[in-house]
This record gives sequence, C-alpha cells and structure tokens, in this order.
Amino acid sequence: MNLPPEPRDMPAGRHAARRAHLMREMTAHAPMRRRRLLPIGAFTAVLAGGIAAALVIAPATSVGNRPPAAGAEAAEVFHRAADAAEANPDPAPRPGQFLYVESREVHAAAADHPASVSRRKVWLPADRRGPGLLLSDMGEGGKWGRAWLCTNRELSREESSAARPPARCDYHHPVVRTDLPTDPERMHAWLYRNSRGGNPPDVQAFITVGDTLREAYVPPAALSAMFKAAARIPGVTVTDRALDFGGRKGIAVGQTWQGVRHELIFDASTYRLLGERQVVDHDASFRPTGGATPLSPSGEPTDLPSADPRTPAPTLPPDRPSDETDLPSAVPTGEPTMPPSNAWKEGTVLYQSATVRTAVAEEIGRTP
Amino acid sequence: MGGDEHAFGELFDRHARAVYNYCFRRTADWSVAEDLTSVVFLETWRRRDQVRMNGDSLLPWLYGVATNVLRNHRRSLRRHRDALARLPLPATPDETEDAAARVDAERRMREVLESIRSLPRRDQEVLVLCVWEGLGYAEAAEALGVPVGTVRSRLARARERLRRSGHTKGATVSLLPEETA
Repeated sequence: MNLPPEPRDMPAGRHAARRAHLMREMTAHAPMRRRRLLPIGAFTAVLAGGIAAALVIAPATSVGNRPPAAGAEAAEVFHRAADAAEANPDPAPRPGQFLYVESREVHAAAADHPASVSRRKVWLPADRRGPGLLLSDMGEGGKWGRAWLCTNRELSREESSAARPPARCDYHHPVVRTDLPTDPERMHAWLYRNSRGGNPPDVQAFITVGDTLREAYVPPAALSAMFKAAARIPGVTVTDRALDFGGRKGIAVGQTWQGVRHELIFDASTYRLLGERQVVDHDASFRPTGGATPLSPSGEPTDLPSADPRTPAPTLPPDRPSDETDLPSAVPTGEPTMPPSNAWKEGTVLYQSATVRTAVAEEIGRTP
Repeated sequence: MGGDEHAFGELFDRHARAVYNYCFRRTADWSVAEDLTSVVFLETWRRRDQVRMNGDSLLPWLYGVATNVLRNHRRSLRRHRDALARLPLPATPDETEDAAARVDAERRMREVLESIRSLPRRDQEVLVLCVWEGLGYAEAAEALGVPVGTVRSRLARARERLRRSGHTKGATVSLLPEETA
C-alpha cells in the first residue's frame, strides 16, 4: 500500500468562494430560483449506475441484457491501434534507465477564459527505484518548476523543488508494465478488476485504459491486448476523425458519462496513441451496466489471479458482527464523475494531454 | 449576521482543509471532495441545534458528518444539488502546475484506495480516520458514534486483514503502527 498523497489546499480562490457560498446559503431564507442541474436522462443514468453497482455484490451470472461492446467504428480504430502497437514498438527502458515522456497539457478552457497550456516532462525510473522527476512550465513561456516524485514518503515543499534529488525517495509506481496480461480476454478482465473509482464499471474500465497507458511503458503485446480489450467496453464511440490535436490529425474515441466525455486520441494515419481529452458533452444516452464480473467462455466469472503483483487476490467478505450490515466494499464506493455545471458549454475541453515525445533516457533530468 | 453564522464561518476557516482532504482520501477526486466539503458544512449547519459551535472539539463531529455524507455521497449531493448549483464557477482556470500535480495525486490516491478496498467499509473508515487522518481512538469513536472498543477491534481486524493480503510490505508497515494504547 502506498501512502496517500500529501494534503492540499483547495485551488486558489476556492476556499473563499465556498465560504461565501456557505454564508449565503445559511442566511438565505427564501429559496432562490431553481436551476436545472441535469437533464432528466442523465439523472436516471446515475440511478441506473447505482443499481448496476449493487448487482456486483451477488456473484452475477446473468449475461442477458449486456449492452453491446464499443461501436463498430470505435472497435475498428482500436484494432488498427493494436496492429500498430505490435508493428512499431517503442524501445523499452532497462533497469537503471528512465522512461522520458514529454507532453503538452491544456486545462479548463472556461467560458470567458482561454485555455491555458503547459509543457510537462517526466523522467521515471524503469526499475522504480530512486525518484522520478517532473518538470512543468507555468504556461506558455513561463518558468519551469521542478518536482521530485516519490511515493514511499512525503516530501517537504523545499525537498520537492530542490535541485538535488531527495534521499530515501523511490518513485515506486510501475513504469515498465511487464506485469500486464497479453491476452485480450484476460486484459478485459484485468481492466474491470482493477477499476475502482466510483463510476459504473463500464465507465471506470475505460478510464483505467487511459490511466494505465499514461506515462508508462507498456510492452507491445500488452498494449495490443489493451486496445483489443478496450474495443469491447460498451458505450465507446468515435466522434471525430479529423480532430486537430496539437497540429496532428487525430481520431477521438471516447465514452460519455455524467456530462463528460473521456477520449483517447489516435493518430489518424499511424494509429498511435497521441493523448487524451476530457470534453463537456451533454449526451446522456449511454447507460452503463457492467456490474457483472465478465464471464469467461465456460460461464464462470473470470476471476483470474491478478497479473498485477500489487493487487491482492480478491478476498471474501469477512465474518462480521451482526450490527454491520453494510455492503462489502468491493463495490465501487468512491465517487462518480460529477457533471460539470450547465454553465460549461458543450464541447468545452476540460483537460487535454498530448504526448509530444516518448524516449529512453540514460540520466534523470537530461533530455534524451 | 448573527453570532451563529459568525462562529460557523470560523469553523469553516479552521476545518475546511481537513474535511476537504479527508473527502479526497476517500474518493480520489479533488472536485468531488470540494463539493462534498460544502455538503458537510451545509449538513452541519442544518443540524446545528445538536452541537455547540466552538473550537477544535468539533473536528471529530465534522469527521462524523463527513463519513455519513461519504457513505451515500450520491444521495448527499442530490439533497444539496440546488445549493451546489448556486456556486459560482471558478473565476480563473487552475494554475497549470498545480492542476498537473492534482491529476497525479488522484491517480496515486486511486491506487492507495485499491489497496484497502478488500476491507469492509466500516473497517476502512476506522483505518482512514485513525491512520491517515491521525485521530485518536476516542475521537474516531466520537466521529463514528461507536464505542472506543469497537474502534480498537475494527482497526486490529483491518491490520490483520491487510497483513494477510500481503499489503504490509514497505510503506504499509509505518502506516499500520502496532497498537500502543
């Protein structure tokens, strides 16, 4: 178990905004004008997600009413990406070397503010020992900030931004993912088993695809399996085949839930993964289920031993005193993706990360 | 503005950060944690007749309200969604470096939550309050509305289960100090 990240303040201005809001709510006696938060469809989908989550508790054996897999067009893009992954593998960093990833991020283009752009460079130790390093500028033309990355202990602000790497600091996150399944069926099960975030399983599984691939080296066979598995996640569609993605032509493949569309962006000609986006999308037609553990061809739940050494085999609910009647926490108990306020315009890019370059570095902090 | 409101503003200034980070550590989502922080204080205000609005002694109570809110956060957010809809949007986008660090923290937090998800929810609550938030047994008992002995036995059980499931390597050892009380 890693340590939780260090505590943070709310983003700038939010404490004051929340406080002022609280004071207004406390003193406002007359109910204010009601504002519709969600389209009815989205609201029903929240409930449906809750029901689907509840179904996980009983070992579900029904395959009836399973939603169709990703749309045919999305599946085709994923299969081309799988082929490209095996045909043109990236060089693998060896122990002692670093995975270097340079990316360009766009944050929160608010209604009357332009999006802010930042550049980001990370050096991640292939053997997970010693610190990782993050350099990020403060926006276009801004100064670069440094942050040493470790998960085995908390760093003080001074240690984190010091010129020298802190002592006793290990990055520890998996960087070279030799632990992942290379078979699409097993990868599909792995995605659902390793997806815990409070969203319905179909939604969380797709988010896990992006989480797993971001700033990591995934060997070609596993990467190919990942894309083929993603092709089977329901609700995934292609929305744009000619997206201008940092000057490159991209294909956006994504899934919309709670007003936000999570997208993976593939190069329109080479089918390499270019990056990811989160876009405001008020389409509420997708009804994720995915509550059931995916079934293997034998009809048994595919509870394969975890391929990830960090993840324990699922444990049975314990014997508990009779006063504890709550549900086992193997159900996603975290938070769903919250819908952005209706003030966000459809199509607003909330977050975008484009990978500019991936390489193997011999030395931390030195651009290969 | 009456005295209650004034005291309540101070309560928010003093404890909002603790509540915010507690909500984040249970949800791995900063923006949800922000909304839940508002909900915790709105709920506390609604139930203000049940407590005296003063001082540090209220922190366990706030953790208790937060734990209840987190048990069914969707219902909690629904109950207060009209109030939340009246929140102004952030005036400016986040500072980009900060936003990048937040994305990283969310990913890390999801992994940490993954490592305790095999525990029953009530054991998770005790573990998070006592180990991550640093509450004493008595404070955790107050927050959860259970006897101190129950906190102790749940924490012991949580430790034992994590130990058996192999989560005691490395950092976990320091996360799960032997009971000294």
